[in-house]
Amino acid sequence: MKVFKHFLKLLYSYRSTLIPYLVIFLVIFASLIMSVSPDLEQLSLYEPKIVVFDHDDSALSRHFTRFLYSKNEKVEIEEDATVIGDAIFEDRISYAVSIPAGFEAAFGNSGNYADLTTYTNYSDGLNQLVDSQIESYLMTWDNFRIAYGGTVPAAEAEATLDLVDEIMSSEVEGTILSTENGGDVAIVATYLRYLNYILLALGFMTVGRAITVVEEPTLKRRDLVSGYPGRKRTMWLFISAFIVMLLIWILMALVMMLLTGFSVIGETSVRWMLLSSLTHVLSISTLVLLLTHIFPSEGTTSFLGTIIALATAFATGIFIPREIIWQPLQTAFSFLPTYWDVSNQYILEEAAYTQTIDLTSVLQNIGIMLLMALVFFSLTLILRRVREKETI
Amino acid sequence: MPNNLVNNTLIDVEVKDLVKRYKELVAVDHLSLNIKRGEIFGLLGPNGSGKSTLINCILALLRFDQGEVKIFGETMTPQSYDIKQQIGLVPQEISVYKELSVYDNIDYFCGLYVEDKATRRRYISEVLDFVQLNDFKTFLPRKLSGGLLRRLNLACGIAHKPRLIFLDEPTVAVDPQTRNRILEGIKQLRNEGSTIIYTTHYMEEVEFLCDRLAILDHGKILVSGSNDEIIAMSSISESIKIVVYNLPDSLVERLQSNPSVDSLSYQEGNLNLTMKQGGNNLLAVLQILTEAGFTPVSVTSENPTLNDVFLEITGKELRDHA
Amino acid sequence: MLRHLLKYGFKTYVRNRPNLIWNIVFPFAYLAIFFMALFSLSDTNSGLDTIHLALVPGHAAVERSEVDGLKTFLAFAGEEGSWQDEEIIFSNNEESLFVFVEGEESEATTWLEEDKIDAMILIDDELSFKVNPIRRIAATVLHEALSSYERMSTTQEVLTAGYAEGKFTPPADVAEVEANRFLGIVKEGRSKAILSEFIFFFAALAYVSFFPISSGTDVIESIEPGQSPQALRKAVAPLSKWTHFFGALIPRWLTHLLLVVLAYGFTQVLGIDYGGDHLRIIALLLLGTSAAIFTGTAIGSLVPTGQGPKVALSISLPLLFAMASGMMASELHTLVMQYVPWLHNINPLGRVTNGLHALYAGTDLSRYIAQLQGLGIYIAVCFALTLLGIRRTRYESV
Repeated sequence: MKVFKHFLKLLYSYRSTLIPYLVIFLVIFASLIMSVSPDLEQLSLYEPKIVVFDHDDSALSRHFTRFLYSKNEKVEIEEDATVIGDAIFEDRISYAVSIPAGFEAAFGNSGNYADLTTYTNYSDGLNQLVDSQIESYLMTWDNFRIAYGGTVPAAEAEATLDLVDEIMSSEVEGTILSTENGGDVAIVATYLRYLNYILLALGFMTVGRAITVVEEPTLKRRDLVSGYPGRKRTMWLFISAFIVMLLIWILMALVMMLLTGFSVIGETSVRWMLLSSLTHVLSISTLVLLLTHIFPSEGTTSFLGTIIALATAFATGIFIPREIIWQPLQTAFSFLPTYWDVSNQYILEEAAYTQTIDLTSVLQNIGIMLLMALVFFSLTLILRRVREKETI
Repeated sequence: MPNNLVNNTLIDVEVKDLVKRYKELVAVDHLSLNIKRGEIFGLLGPNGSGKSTLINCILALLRFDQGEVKIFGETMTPQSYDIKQQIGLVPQEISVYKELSVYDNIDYFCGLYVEDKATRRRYISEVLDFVQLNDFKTFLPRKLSGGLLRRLNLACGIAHKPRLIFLDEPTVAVDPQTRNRILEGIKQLRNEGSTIIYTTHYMEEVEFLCDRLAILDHGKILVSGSNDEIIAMSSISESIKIVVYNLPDSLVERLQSNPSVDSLSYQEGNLNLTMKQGGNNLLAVLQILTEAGFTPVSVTSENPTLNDVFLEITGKELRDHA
Repeated sequence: MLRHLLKYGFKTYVRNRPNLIWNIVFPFAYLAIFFMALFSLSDTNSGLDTIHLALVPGHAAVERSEVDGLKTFLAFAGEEGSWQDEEIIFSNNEESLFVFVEGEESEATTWLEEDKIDAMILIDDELSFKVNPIRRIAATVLHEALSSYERMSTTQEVLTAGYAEGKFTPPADVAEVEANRFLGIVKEGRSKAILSEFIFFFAALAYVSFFPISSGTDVIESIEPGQSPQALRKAVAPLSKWTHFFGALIPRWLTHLLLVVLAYGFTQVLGIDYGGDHLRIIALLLLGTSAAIFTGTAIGSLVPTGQGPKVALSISLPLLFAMASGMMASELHTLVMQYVPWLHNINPLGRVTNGLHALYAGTDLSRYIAQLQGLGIYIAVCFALTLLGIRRTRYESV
């Protein structure tokens, strides 16, 4: 108990480290919620953000513009290549179209390709969506133009545009696999993934640092000489480390429940997510113990906290989607428990919609984390034993 | 005539009515003292008495609220580089770079005072001899024992041959052999003409080294002077221990009421008396015992030490919150 | 005298092991891992993932021709696959957007639930589809494709009816009409903006340039008597505080300027493309590092606390700035630029990020120069704060 109290006092002195990390976490999470709130209870299609610059101002161009804005999210920005480039880079728009003056008059008289200027990003995939809409519309208009012998008569223009409207409004109905709390499940999964990064960083920078201070040879010697049993001291040190990590996790889990609502715990996926995350906490506590015993210096634990947390966050799919991460790097980081927990979060997030959870994989990953915890813990005990023998 | 000549004595450090406050706490309270050239001046006081604050004010490291500090007759300011050129500081905390070898550490700090490389090389060689660290020139501080580190710390502060040296508890946590060496070295520095201000908690060091000393508490000088002058200020003359058995209470009371006796205790045959200032104390006590028919088994008499005086003076004024 | 200080300044700094680890190992290790994680993003032509489909005839009476018609349509951008060992196999043609198989409704639903397919298309009186809601992009693409198919059918019907009513007449000069038939929009050579995920690369390099704040706090620690015993000793020496300050600053500053250039060189060895304007990029990074050093000196001289808070600030400030610049989530960069653009202007790491973007985008230099100016102002402010802090002669901690 004495060790635990001492531990807590040390952690209190590290509050200037704790607070910025918690702030980082909450800001990241809040912004992700703001920008990526999936409505997963009904089919939600991706709506590119586009801007159309109509310099023709003809019946066709106006109709065309209205059509594009009806299918996508309208954004207004200045027509300037640099401004457009920035807006695409900053994800404020996905696509920009400029309709030149004389477009309607020239359409059908100047070759097979429409004289439109488009600005896109490097993701050809998303560009194809808007390209397809543009081509589909113009092709429909072109069919009528050809049917009229090459030019739509002025008297028939409005009626033809109405027909184009009717055709272009044809849509195919889509539905999703049913799920009640799919959106909340996705939020929980994202939250728990980012929490892994924070726990890794805080684990080293607070718990790890406290351990290096408590285990500092002169202080330790003083404790032991006072008659305080060495084994009891070690036991309480380990318990303190676990408890503190657990308390941080519980606090963050409660914050998450407040944001998503406690009903989300009713989802089977979420319960397994929490179990996996809890196992991860246990496992990284043992990792922190091991590494702080190998590198018993405050400066080194700070360094480890920063580098391991950042590297793991990038390599295991916390900051960026796992599918784009180089596979050998993922394999290298599979020696950390975080990799397996993130895997579980992905599996369970998808399972919320398919209604079938691949429990085999989930349990396997939990088992791996527990095994890692056992290995790290055992190595820590062995290392302590070896060091004790060396000092005798 | 030098402007630090007072009563035909050269004064190297002159402090007049110095006051330093930390918000409501008065760390130095209207303190004045003079330190003569070529003397070893001891500064004693319990922890928190203001010794370090006083030194830092003298060295212009701290701005003070009132008073004046002169070194070598000139007012001391942070920009008094001519004065600083002649000052050496050996702080209590080991102030060396763990990344530099013994030689490099001394070279670095000496180089802050002595630009000429040849002169510096000579000084370093001399100081290495002085502190006997020649065999450890290339060692990094982490490879040195506590005593050797202290010697290095000392070397870094005196390599440039300063006229005025501040030594802040330079013998903390060193073995007796090293301590003796350091103390001898300090005496040698004084003999070579340096003025030394020495702070310590070890009374025997003060008694061995210091020509004069001051005892501080609560930011004030309680008493100052030479060893003998201070001891003479004590209200205690001597301590007498007599082994004599079966003394009746009436005799003990009679001894207690004797005007020369400051305090008395008698237990299991051991009679301990603390005598006030005055002469023939022992003789008077023995006479009383003899007249009463008691023959002492043994008699011991001790004169008060500086330690006794220190405890007497500061102990009487212990803070409630100490 | 300055030479003496510089000589030992370099020696003590370079021989300090924690410095070595933090300031030398960390940036290179971080860049290496970062690159390995994200190097697939540098493939700038990322297309859509193949969408696995099940075609399900709604009821037995559905005409075979309808199913075949849809298959023909999908085959323009895909191919038919077949089941093998519970996986759909196909020719692995990278251009295949769709891979489809036929199946019954119940088995298709099972495939969808088991995540073996992305969507199932019900071919009935009306076309419809069911999809896994996580596959938002796939759902959108499929929706657009099927809607196009429907539009083609509707167009055909309308035109046929129109011809039957005599509303339309076939063109007289078929050759001329064909020569001007709309085939599509020009995609080759069109303006492409930088992929928004590239912010990760810009922010990561900016982070590496900005992270050595602790070196700046070290400078102050080495000259303020209240902060280190060596500084106390130095304060008694006959040298001005400015001499000590520059004696401590220059070795650290120069070391880090060199390190950031080496770090940039390392990114080039790794093959990360930042646009190729190396000199301007290096100039930007040098300013970023200088901003870090002077941020550290300002913190060191103004924050009247012990080591703990300063270390915490040294670690967390770069992370906070990096977070606001999009290093941890690209959406954050967008949100900051949208809602709090002034934050980006006072964020030196954000300035470096913007500068790298401006150079990569190849726009005119004024945007790049604006970032340099912003960084210059930031450095000047930090330097002024530093001077203000170290001019104090009262330090209560001695």
